[in-house]
Amino acid sequence: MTEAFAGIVLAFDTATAQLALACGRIPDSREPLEMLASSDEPAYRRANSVLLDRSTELLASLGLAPADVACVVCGRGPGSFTGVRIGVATAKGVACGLRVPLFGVSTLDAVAWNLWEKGVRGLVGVVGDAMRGEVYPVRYRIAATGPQRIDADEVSKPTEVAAHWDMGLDESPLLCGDALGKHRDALVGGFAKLGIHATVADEPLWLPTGRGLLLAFEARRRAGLLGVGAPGSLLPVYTRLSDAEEHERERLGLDASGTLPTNGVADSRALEGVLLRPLSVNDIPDLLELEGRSADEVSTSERLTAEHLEAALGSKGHTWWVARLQGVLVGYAGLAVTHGTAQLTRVVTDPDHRDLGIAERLFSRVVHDALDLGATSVSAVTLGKDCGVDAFLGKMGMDRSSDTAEGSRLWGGALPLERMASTSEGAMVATPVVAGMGLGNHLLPDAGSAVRRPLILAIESSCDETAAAVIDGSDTLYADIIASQVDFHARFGGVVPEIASRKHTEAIVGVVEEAFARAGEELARVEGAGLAPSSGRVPGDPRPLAWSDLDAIAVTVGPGLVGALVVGLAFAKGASWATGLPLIAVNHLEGHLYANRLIDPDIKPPLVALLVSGGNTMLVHVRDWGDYRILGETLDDAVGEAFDKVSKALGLGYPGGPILSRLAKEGDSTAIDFPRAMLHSHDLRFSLSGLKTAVITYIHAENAEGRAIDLPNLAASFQQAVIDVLVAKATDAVRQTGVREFCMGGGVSANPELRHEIALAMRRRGVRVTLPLASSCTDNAGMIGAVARERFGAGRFEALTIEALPGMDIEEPY
Amino acid sequence: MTRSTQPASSPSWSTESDSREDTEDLGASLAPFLAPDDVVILAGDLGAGKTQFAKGVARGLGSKGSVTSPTFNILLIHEGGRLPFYHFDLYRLDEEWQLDDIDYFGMIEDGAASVVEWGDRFPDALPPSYLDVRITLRYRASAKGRSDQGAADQVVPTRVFEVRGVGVRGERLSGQWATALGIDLQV
Ligand SMILES: Nc1ncnc2c1ncn2[C@@H]1O[C@H](COP(=O)(O)OP(=O)(O)OP(=O)(O)O)[C@@H](O)[C@H]1O
Ligand SMILES: [Mg+2]
Repeated sequence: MTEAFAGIVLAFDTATAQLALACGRIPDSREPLEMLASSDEPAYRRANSVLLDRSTELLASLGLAPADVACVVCGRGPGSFTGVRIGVATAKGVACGLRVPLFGVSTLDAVAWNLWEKGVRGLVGVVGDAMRGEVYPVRYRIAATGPQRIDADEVSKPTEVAAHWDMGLDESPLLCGDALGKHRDALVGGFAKLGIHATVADEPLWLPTGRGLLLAFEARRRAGLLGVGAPGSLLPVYTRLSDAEEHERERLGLDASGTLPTNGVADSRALEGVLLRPLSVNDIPDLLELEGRSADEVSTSERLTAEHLEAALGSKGHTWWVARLQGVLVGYAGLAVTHGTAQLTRVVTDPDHRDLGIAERLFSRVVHDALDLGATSVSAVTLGKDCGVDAFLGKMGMDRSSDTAEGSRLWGGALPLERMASTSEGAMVATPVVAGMGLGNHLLPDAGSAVRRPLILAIESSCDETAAAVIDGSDTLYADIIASQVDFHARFGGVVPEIASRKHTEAIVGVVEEAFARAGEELARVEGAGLAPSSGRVPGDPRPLAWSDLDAIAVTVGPGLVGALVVGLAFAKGASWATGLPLIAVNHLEGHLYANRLIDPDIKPPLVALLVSGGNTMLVHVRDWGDYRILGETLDDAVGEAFDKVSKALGLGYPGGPILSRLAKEGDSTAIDFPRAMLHSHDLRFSLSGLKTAVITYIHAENAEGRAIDLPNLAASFQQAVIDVLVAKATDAVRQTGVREFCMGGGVSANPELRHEIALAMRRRGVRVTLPLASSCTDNAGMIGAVARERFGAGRFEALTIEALPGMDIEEPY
Repeated sequence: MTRSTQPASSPSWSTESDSREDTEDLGASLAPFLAPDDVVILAGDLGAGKTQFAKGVARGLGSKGSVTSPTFNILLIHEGGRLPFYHFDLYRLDEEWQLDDIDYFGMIEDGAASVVEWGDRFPDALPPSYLDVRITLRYRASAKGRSDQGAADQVVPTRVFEVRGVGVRGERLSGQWATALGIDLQV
């Protein structure tokens, strides 16, 4: 059965050193594909810069434009990992931007189909280069009707290919594929050893071509093997470790029931389908329906009303989350923070869906939000007879503090709750996770306020996180999504392990879709959100945001990990090409600076910023927005790294920052005299590796003496050594530059003791201090959007040839 | 498929360093022999001196910009020298397959000289040829009962460097470097 679609097909493959490109047309879903044009060129490592311009040229030669494309076809490898990723991410951006289907084709199949078209017949071995001295070998039997694949994708040593194929050979194979460049002798020699004469094809036949790609696609289409073509579910071919996904699932506890509180009724599959998201107006009717059905939950005396919930949505200090299973609302939780105390209002789950761990997950969400809202403790009141709820709160790490005369019970606990931190490894239920409200409720739009142009989609994938945000011209965030913190198994049917770090290619579509969905819901509450006439959006319309509602697409281009950066960038470029929206490039570090402006719009340069994270430790003089000078940075380790490594050396967990700072509270910071490196260096540079080594040497010495290590004292002394240096250098920087404003950024700026001491030191000097919310310290896309908004105003748009800049310098204007 | 064939490896040799500067100089002394696609696997505990050594390599290659710990970023790229210098750190990776997520094998065959901290983390994922550099700390025996002094008074342990070449390029590098340091491998 052929798939029912027709129109222009754009196909490309970047898995090898060749950029293969072609365009065809399917006149009618029952008709064969017509080849229109193709172009193949060497593009080794330049695919990311030339792919889209070449596509434009190819289409233009046919009198066509991007908007005419009805379907995208992309080579999935196997091949160069970066190459495949660039192709797949670009294809996803194009397909999403055009809202057309995307189909993957094996790069090796494209090579075989090219051979077929060139008249080759008989037994053929396509052998791709797998790096590290290995190859991807696949046999095809090419008949007049086309190549028939004999083997599945796999990895082998070149010398072992012949033996592995183990052909009772009546025919000598023709070898081709880009592995022949490096391994010709080993491959041919392997066959010779078995007494087989293998022929090597002419070099131009080794690589995939655009035409071969389209032919391979057409064969799959005629065979009815295409599927629906959802851009989010296309994966590169991962051949090296076919059990990679297995590992991932195990690690995430999706299969291992031991990590989940299941008891026979529940299975992990059911849990996967549960989607948690912050409450929106559209959830209120369903929520009230469930409220009506459940009586014995954590509750204050009066019933929830629509007015109550709507008010909570619009005001600071409240957080509400709902859980949906296949669209049905199966749970909700909410709390309100006043004067540093989070009062738990509800944790409710549908009686039919108990034991799925939904309550735990909802609880950890709202409690984590409470931390972001500045709460230091959480409390709850339970009514009625002692029931499951009390047991639940106990399990969550709260303490029953007192019982009232009226028979209600009072529960309390200091934040973060012990349980939340101690089970952060692997367990999904209590992982502190926040989505959607990354920057705190107060940044969400007030009902009634209007959207300001420009509306920008921002994408961030510089290292571990894949993130997307939607921001408007007044720095209001309508969505702020981070992949590792979103439940979107439902979106992928539980197949894709998108939560894992650095799985950007897998996560990118889901994250952007989630951002569009969230932004749509938020915009529904905003008056005058009839954004683009073409979108037909009217106030109250909860549909996901559309590309036509946007004014630009922004993306982090550096600094960062090159293999991570290219994914976000390729996707953004593909979407920009498809939609015609301008592309804005953003420096990740500048994003951390702008995170402060999202918190306090009044912050004004000149100022000094201290960026302290897992990867950075620097003092930056912000002379003006866009004009930065690094006053000093670390010579070796970053502060966050030092915390993590000391924690690890002590056998404590990851991340080290929160663990050590909690321990430090009970310790004596003067107990051990660790070195304050570079304290008297008379410059603003830092060195942390000496401190790391001093702690390790100390541990070694104590162990050698057979003395137990006092963990709180060690943690407190270590933390104090770090803080002393940071505070001294930061105040020096402020003095030297004469600025009256100071701010911080990066994950370590969440450290309570550091915040306290630095704020004190600055205020003593009459310097105004802005401290970011804990949740906006870490990498997010909201801050990228904030920079992009300013660049939009200055008309700083990029050509589609732009490449990732892993070593991007914050001092250099761009 | 199995990876049973162990590449040939030359006899190992060792040298010592008593200071950060010594270690950096050792790195710089290796740099002249590095060619495109060479890989140096650096093994050794936290704080052993891997990053210090990499600083020296970068200096020897003439790379621009300062070399800092790549632990968070996993790969930091330094251009501007005789060769591009790829400074990896596998410390934060938990599983071997994550090497593909960072395109490790593609990057080390990208024409640069690569130094890989914690490069021994996944023994099945070592490249076919590399220079193995293992740094261990040798603590000097301290007299009992004298150690309630502050951490500042600690004696700095000696760093012992054990070097071994694996595969054709690795063996060659090992030999050239030993010769440059005046170490005779024949004995
Ligand atoms: N002989 C030496 N060689 C190198 N470093 C030394 C030596 N003696 C003392 N040190 C100190 O040891 C520390 C080495 O830290 P470095 O960050 O280089 O270690 P590393 O092996 O890279 O650790 P990590 O596993 O955290 O990456 C530095 O603070 C350095 O000053
Ligand atoms: Mg290091």
